[in-house]
Parts: sequence; structure tokens; C-alpha cells
Amino acid sequence: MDAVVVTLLSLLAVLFAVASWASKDNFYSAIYMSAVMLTVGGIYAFHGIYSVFVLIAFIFIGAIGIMTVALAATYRFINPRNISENWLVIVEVLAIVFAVTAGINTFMVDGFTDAFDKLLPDYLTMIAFLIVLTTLLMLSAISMLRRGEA
Amino acid sequence: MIETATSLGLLAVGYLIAVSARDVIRILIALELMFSAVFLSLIPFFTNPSLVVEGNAIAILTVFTSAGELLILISAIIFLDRKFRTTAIETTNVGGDVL
Repeated sequence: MDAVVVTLLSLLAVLFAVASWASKDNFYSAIYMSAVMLTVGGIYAFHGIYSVFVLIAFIFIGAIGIMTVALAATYRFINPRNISENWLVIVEVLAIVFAVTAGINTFMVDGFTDAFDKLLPDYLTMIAFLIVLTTLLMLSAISMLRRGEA
Repeated sequence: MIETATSLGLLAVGYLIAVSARDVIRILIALELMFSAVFLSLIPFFTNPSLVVEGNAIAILTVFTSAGELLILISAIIFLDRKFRTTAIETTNVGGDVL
């Protein structure tokens, strides 16, 4: 049952990724990309690794994903591809070969565990990480604002 | 096992989007797809009890580093549009300090 759910989520992730490539509108491409992130987060949540799921959900989907969707909605571009669809077939065949090789040679024991509390027993480090990230964002915003005023 | 295979599939599609992009928004989307593939490839760490803490540490570092990198890229895209009034990939060919 577990393998079926993970396989379905994985298939959805690859399908959404291909849809993101095939879409001619940046906005829909960004939406499909967010769906890929959701399925990746869903795989983590299904395995019970909630700390990484929260990081992906809040930072990647909640912050970066939303900003990308907003940016893509602002800068829509018609016919953004300059490559033949045949390349998709070639790339996917190569990916399947690599994926099967990696899948066969990856050693995984049954049962997943999460050790976030051992790594970060308090929230202080997480808050420091968030402050650094927010400062980086604010620096960019201030830089843009000052350029706009100049 | 399935996760590692999916990760490589996502990475391949991300590369395909990146090489076929005609505007920088697509490059951003491709990078985020590739980072999703990186997150997925970390899953085997969480099955080995002796590597779970390392897996968590790598996941946290990866999430924050990639988020910071993508934030800088988003800012760069906005700067590019303000300077050239376009997000077409041809405008970035000059590269470096000229921008």
C-alpha cells in the first residue's frame, strides 16, 4: 500500500513537471511547478518526515513558490520554448535509464525516522536562519527601492 | 528507491526546461524543479538510523541555501526587467558587470 501511494505521488510529480515544460504560459508553468513541490512535500509527509515537509511547505511552496507564481503572472510569455518536443522523449528515456540504475543501486531500509529534535533542540537556530533569510530579502527590496528613487 | 528514480526524472525535466527557456522566468521555474529533485534525493538518508541527523542537517541547509539563491534570482529578474524592459533570455547573454 505504501509503495502504491509513493509511486502515485512520484508519477504525479513527473507528470506535473512535464506539464510545466509543455505549458506555453509562464503562469500555468509556475502553478504546475508548485504542484510538483506539493507532491514532493507529500512524499515526505507520507513517510512521516514532518520537519522537512514543514520546511518545504512553508519556505519553498509558501514563500518562493508563491513569489514565482506572482512573477510568472506578471511576466507572461507566449511560446516560451525554442526546442523540439522530440527532445522530451530523448531526455525522458535517458532519465528512465539513469533512474532505474539509481533506483536499483540505492540502499533503503524499511521505516523512516525523523531526528529534527536531536539536530535542533531549541528554536533559536531556526529563528536565526529565518532572520538571515528575511534580511536577505529586505536587502534586495531596499536596494530596488533606492534605485527606484535615484 | 522510487524516490531516487523520481528525483532523476524531475532533474532531467528541469534541465530540459532550462535549456529550452526563452525567458528568465522559465529558468527560475526550472531551478525550482531541480531543487525539488534535490529534496527528493535526500529521502534515503531518513531510512538509515545512523544518518537521520545528517539527513536533517543537509535538508535544512539545502532548503535555506536554495531559498536564498532563488530570492537573489527573483531580485535579479526584477532588476533585469527594470533595466531592459524585457525578461527575454537574449538580454542576459552579455552577462557579468555589463548588466
